[in-house]
Amino acid sequence: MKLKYLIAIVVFLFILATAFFIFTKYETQQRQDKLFSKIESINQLITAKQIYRDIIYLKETKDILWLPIKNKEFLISVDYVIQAGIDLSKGYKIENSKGITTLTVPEVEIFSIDADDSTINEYYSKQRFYKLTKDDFIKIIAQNKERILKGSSISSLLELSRQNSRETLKRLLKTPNTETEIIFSNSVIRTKR
Amino acid sequence: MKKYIVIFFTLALIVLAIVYLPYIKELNINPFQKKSIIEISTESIKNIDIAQYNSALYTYKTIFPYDFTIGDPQWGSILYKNSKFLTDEDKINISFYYQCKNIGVDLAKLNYFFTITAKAVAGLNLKVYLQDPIIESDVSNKILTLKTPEFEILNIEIIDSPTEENYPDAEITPGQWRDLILILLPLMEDQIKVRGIIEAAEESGISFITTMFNSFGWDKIIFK
Repeated sequence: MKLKYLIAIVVFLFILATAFFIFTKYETQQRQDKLFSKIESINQLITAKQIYRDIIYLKETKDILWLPIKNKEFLISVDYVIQAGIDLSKGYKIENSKGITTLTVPEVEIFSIDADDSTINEYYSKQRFYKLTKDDFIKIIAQNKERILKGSSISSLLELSRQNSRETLKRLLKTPNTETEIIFSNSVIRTKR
Repeated sequence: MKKYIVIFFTLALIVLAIVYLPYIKELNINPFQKKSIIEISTESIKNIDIAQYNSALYTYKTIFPYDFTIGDPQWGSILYKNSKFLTDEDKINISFYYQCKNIGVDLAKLNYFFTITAKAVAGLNLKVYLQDPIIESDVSNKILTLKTPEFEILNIEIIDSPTEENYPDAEITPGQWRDLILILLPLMEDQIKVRGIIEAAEESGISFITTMFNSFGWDKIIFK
């Protein structure tokens, strides 16, 4: 008889302890933001832009007992802007020879690819017991940037940027009695004449 | 005998389950499965010639809606206040409320918030500046007088990053997102300007242009 009471007390205490831990357990997740808002000084000459348009269709369904009860769907288009130019903070070199000044600047490069959210065109969107969220389209838009940068027309953008950079720098540095030649090089050192 | 038959069938069932479990999974007989189809087609539209000199970059982070309202508006109270008793701050908040409501985002019922990170670039539009930049060039004294360049914010790019871990995801359609960005961009531009990006761009840009012309043999550069 005593043993029965003992077992009952142990079981009761066990249940009490379990309940206590379940109801008092909480989880703290801490994540530190690594972004520091500050103004940085840059020296970029942007000379060409390329516009891409993506048509994106998404359909997502969630079955309940094999029936596609919940679904969300959208068809949108969005424009991406790629900017190319030269990063003058990498340095430049000036040389004078026979009355002609030669300016050597870094090779042209891609500076940014921006999905212009203000150009999103929503052809239609449907939601049935399943809410569309920002991540549904932002994740796809962000992933496409990498794919676009691997595309074949990037080389034509770089070539256009090279031509425009040459013309822009010539115009910027055009002063009386000076003729400037522009050369692109991957290894430039800043020098003073 | 019966006992052995039951044991035999139980064991056989276990063996069959182990062998065929991976195949069963492939049959997609999950009654709660999630399916998604994504189709993307990309086209290159056009190349554009531009000429801009970027001299300052600012990465700016805001929280919607809190960074776009003044104080912590109690919508239930201020929306029904008599217009005679509204403060200037209330009027600004109400105007923002209706801008959002018109695109289907009701701030009074909002159960999420999100961060928006923007990259702002300030500098000089060279297409305008290079039309006639030189006012005077004194070759003998090596003094060059240039038109003072006007620095401005040239671009604000919204960084498309997924919702941060632990933050609620925003229930918003792509069209509503575009409309919201169109409302928020001018407000963000004002906030970025207050933080001094144009002054920083001017300081950095003037210093760079001066150094560049000094390198070309001009001893003194004057901006007028």
